[in-house]
Amino acid sequence: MSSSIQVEQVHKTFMKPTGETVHAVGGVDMDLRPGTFYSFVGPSGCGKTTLLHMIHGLLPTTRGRILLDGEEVNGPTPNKAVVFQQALLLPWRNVTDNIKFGIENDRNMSATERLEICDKYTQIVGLRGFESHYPHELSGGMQQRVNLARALAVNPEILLMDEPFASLDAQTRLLMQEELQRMIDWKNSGKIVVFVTHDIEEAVFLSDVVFCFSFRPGTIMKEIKVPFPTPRTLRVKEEPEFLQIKHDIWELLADEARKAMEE
Amino acid sequence: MSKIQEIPLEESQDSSFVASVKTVYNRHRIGINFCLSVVLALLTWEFIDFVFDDPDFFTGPVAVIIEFGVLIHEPRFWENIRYSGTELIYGFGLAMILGVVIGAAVAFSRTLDEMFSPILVGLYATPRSVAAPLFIIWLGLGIASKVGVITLASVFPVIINTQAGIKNVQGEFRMLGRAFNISFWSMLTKIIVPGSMPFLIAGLRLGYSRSVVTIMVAELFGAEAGIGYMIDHATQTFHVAEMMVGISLLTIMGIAGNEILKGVERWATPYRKTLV
Repeated sequence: MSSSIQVEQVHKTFMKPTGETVHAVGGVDMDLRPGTFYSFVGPSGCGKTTLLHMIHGLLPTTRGRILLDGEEVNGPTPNKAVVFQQALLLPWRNVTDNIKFGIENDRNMSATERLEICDKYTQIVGLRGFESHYPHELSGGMQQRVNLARALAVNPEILLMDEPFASLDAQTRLLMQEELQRMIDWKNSGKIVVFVTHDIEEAVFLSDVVFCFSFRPGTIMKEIKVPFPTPRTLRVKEEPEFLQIKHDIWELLADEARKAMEE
Repeated sequence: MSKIQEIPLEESQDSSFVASVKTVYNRHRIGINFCLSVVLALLTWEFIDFVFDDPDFFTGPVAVIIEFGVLIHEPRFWENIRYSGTELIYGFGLAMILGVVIGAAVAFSRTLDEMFSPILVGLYATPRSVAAPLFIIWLGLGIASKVGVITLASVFPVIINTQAGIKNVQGEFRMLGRAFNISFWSMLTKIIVPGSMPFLIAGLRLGYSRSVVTIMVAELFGAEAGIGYMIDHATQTFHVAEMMVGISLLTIMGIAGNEILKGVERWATPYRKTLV
């Protein structure tokens, strides 16, 4: 399995409750290849999450189209899975049952198979021993692991991640960045990963390709390839070339971030 | 010079009487506190009786229990309990069904919500004592009018909580369901029903309390029998002890139903801790 995604001249306009229209995404083109980790970075309100939702099919495009393997996306499909910014775990389900949520709809799968899959991903995200805990009994980092495992359990060709580490404390966040690479293993599985963040360092550290977004209407200012081999260790962050890339992106985004702040 | 004092991590392990009492108390804290509060309330009640010392004016728990012992031999007494019990079961049962149906309807349809919410809020604010005489005119002195008043009084908390519960899961959790491509049926059974359950049960508990209170109101404006009728009758003939028996019965009905609903809550939402 290996899919590719073409985003062609995609625009998105919203109507605010006040009647004001907001041009959130302003003509984006991209070509996403299998086995690649992409990041969207940009200031708050640059439409990066909106674009992620359009790729997923949760939102329709206003203009332009998004093709998955040549076919237009017009709704969520089982080969795409999303990791939300908030863990959005069902409070009445324990860890195993939350991880199972996405694969319960698959009628071709037996109950034993489902449990095996849950077990596998519980192991991968490091939650062995917490299977019967309810979400409120878990730390923020553990909740995000369940959130991730729920998406991975579907074994999607396209994994969409919307600022999954935004609510974590700084240390947990660093460790999760390192572990995420092992947990997803996109190179061998041929997955497309799209990771939305406004943390430049996080984007550079995780990605093969970083897309830098302008402020509203969001367009791609630059596409930057990160040359370091994966999986990477946190030490990469100290290398001069890494710092240089990070610096270049910041130079590019600083003005846009200022616009967002003044809004 | 002050030296940092060492604080022992656990209480000393001596098997003194005080220590064992403490252990027993900690283990059964909730039950013991409940018993203590009941005993305290009864003692206060009995003490007030002792101070007044006038059985035509006030009676303590002992006198009430004695009165109860007398009343249970009268068929009329059991008739009253059966009558009010029937009112409560039908009245609250109807409120439960109507409340959930109407609540779900206004939660799912914005048009219905916009059309009916002002009316619902208005009716909710209307005093129950106004409705009671009207229902008697419409439905007569029998059980039907009481069921009507009780339903009207207790349906609103159920409607409002059902609506709030469904709205509560409609945003993000609905998006989660859509993102994972689940069917409408799965959305209903896996997200909407379990997600609104805590709200729904809270609404049922509020509604039940109102039902019990309304028994009294409904029977006050004319009834053939019932606990409220019995209290009213006892008041007019200065049978304070009998009045107190009636009041106690209503209280017990209130507490018992609430405890049952708390049990349902624990069973339906085991992941939550019951707060009240």
